[in-house]
Amino acid sequence: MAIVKQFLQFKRFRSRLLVYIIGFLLLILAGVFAVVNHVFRQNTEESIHRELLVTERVFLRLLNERSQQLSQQATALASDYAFKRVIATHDRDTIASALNNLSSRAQANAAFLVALDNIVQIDTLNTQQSGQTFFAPELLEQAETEGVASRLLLIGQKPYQVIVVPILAPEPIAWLCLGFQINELTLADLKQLTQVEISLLSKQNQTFFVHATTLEAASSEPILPIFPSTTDGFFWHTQNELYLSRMVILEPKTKAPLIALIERPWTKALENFYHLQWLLLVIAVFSIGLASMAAAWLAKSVSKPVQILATAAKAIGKGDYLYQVSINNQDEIGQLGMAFNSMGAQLLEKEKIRNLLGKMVSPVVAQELLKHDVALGGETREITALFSDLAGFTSIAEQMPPQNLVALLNEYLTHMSKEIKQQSGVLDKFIGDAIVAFWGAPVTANDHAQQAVACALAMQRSLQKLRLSWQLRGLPMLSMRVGINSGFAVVGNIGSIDRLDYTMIGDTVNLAARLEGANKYYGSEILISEYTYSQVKAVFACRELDKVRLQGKQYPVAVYEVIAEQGQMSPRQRELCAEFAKALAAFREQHFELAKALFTSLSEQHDDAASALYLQRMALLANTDLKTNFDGVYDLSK
Amino acid sequence: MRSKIISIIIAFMSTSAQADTFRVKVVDHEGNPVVQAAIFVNSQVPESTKQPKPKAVIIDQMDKEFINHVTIVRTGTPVIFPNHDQIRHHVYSFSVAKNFELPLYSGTPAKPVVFDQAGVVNLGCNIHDWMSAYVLVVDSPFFALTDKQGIAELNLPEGHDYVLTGWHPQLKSLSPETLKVAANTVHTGELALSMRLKHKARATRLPTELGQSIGYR
Repeated sequence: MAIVKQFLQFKRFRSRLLVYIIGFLLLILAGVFAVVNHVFRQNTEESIHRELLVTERVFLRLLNERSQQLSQQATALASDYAFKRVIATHDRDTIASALNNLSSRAQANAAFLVALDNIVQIDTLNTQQSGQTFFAPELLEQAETEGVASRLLLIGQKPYQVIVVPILAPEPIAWLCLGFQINELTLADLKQLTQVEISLLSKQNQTFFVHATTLEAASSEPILPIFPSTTDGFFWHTQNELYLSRMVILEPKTKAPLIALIERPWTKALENFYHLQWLLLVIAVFSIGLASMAAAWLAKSVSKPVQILATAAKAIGKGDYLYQVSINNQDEIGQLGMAFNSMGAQLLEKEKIRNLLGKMVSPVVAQELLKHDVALGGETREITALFSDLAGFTSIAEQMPPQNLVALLNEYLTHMSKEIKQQSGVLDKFIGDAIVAFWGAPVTANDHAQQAVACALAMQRSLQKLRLSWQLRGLPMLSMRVGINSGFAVVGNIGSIDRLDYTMIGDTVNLAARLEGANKYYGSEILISEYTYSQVKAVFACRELDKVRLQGKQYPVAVYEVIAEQGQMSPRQRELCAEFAKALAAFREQHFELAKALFTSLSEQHDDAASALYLQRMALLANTDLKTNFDGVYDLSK
Repeated sequence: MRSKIISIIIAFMSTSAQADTFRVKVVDHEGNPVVQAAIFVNSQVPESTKQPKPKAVIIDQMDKEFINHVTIVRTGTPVIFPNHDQIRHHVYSFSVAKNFELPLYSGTPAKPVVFDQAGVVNLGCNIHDWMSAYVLVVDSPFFALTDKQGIAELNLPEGHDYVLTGWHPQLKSLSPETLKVAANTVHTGELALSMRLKHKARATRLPTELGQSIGYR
């Protein structure tokens, strides 16, 4: 089975089709041949059986006619007057001579003159012998009753047609017995009339003797080794031929009856069949040839477009969506070609969309969008939002030609978006020089706050490098403000069905935006809310700057400035942080003298904008009576 | 082979002073009378009973047949074969008792044929195979043929012993072979002989020869 399976594994469609079609055809042809063979052989055998039966009748009829003819001949001879006269002389030699003369007239092979007392007087086969009883007295009896007797008999192991007639003068005075030997010539005559082979045999002591046959001498040698169980049609064969035969027992009443075998050579009878076989073979070869051509053509008509399609599929796999196949069929294959072409076009369209989507939205979002059906609607997720802005960009924009401005902005945004992508953030949108991004959606991430803060630091570092390049090109120096907040927000595809944005909305987002703007007051670059701080304090070193209250909100929020990664702070930064914390604590406890001294020291030594802000606030507090309601919270709406 | 048993019954009829008339009945085994069976004395007959030189006997040929089929003659009887047909005949015999030929003749032959030897003579015609007749030549002058009833009458002189026997063209066997008639014995009733007859094996006359139409052949 495995071998067959292996054998049926084709590398080429054409070979498979060819093998299948030819195999199928061969099966059909073999079936047809088997049926024809069977039917023909059966028919041939049946027709031979019938022919043999008819032949047997003809043969017997011929024998009978011959016998009658010979009988008439003998009767005519027996009435020869001169011969009767000779018999009357009782001169044995004369009688013998006359008998010879008589038998030669009839072309008989043997002649006997038998006296009325059944004693043979003259025997032309044995001229010296006489005085014996006639070998077939029953023939004499028959001749006496019927006037003539005829029988096939063996005389000295030779088959004879024996005729006995009385010699009438005018009553019987003797019996004339004439023997006509049946030899090959006789059988040849019969063969010519009946068109079958005839053998004449006799069975003696369970052995068959062949007396005469029309078969070739060599082939008749081992005749009939076994006695057939049926006389009606049986096969037997010589060394080189198979015969379908019929056995006819001639003169069944006699002791050693002569048997005639009527034989039809089997191969000769099948000659027509062999012709048919040749014809079938020619038809088979012809049809196999035709089928091969048809299969080849069919295979070509199928495999060629398949090859074209395979090449096209490879091309499309490599991204060549413009690859077009040209199959000019009107059938299913043609339809496949057309479908393939339109598939390429659609793939191209999709790829364009994908590319565009990747540019328009964050790759993470694009992937998520392509994965699922795009639908309106959102969900509440815990995210971290990031807002950034270039300080003083507006004033620069007014001084620069638009191309340069766009080039500058593009360079900046390219680098920033690269950092966001690097930190697996979702770039929500650009609003001029401002960037909005978030973490924690659509892919859930536990460290979204850390990622956002890390991203902010990376962005600042990236800007540092950009600034060096800008400096060399004589471009203005720009600084970036970043606000980060973490919390629950609604994220999702927001917009109309024609124009969607995967974006976020909510207070968390608003605070992040406000924190970005709050950098101005504190002179900081990265501001984060206490919610973010609580998630990143282990990783990033931060300095608490203030507690702010947002408009319409009851509870204040502490804001922190991100300094660096934990352990990356310089001693000076560490000192600043520590001192600032002391000063902030003094401020909140309303030890304004101490706070003023500390903030002044920090402002002078570290040029700290936040400390300067507090000094300003304390100066403002001294002039007013706000001290009564002092809680250390700065109202951001102001 | 068909055979018949024929009983010959010899009856002693009322006799004259010179001769007794013997009635002989010939029947086959089925009781059927046998026609034209010859009954004759087969023993030496006394000189006194001998007849004078036998007269000539005529066997006619009419309508290509011998008439009669069986003829009994005494030894030395001349037989004349007159041909009454318009065609010639060729009368012959190859029998031992008389071998002769009358080659193709018409009318009455000039010389009669003298049958001078006792025995059965089978007559034939060379040109008509079916023509067959028998002449039984016997030494005694006492013989007779059975009639349609199978009865033959023999007139035998008184005072002598006779041995009777019978013959038929198809005779195969006879039982008893002879019948003895003793002198001066009173004969009453009939005597019988048994015979076995052979099948008649001879040429048959064609229907056309018999004047019958056989139609197209």
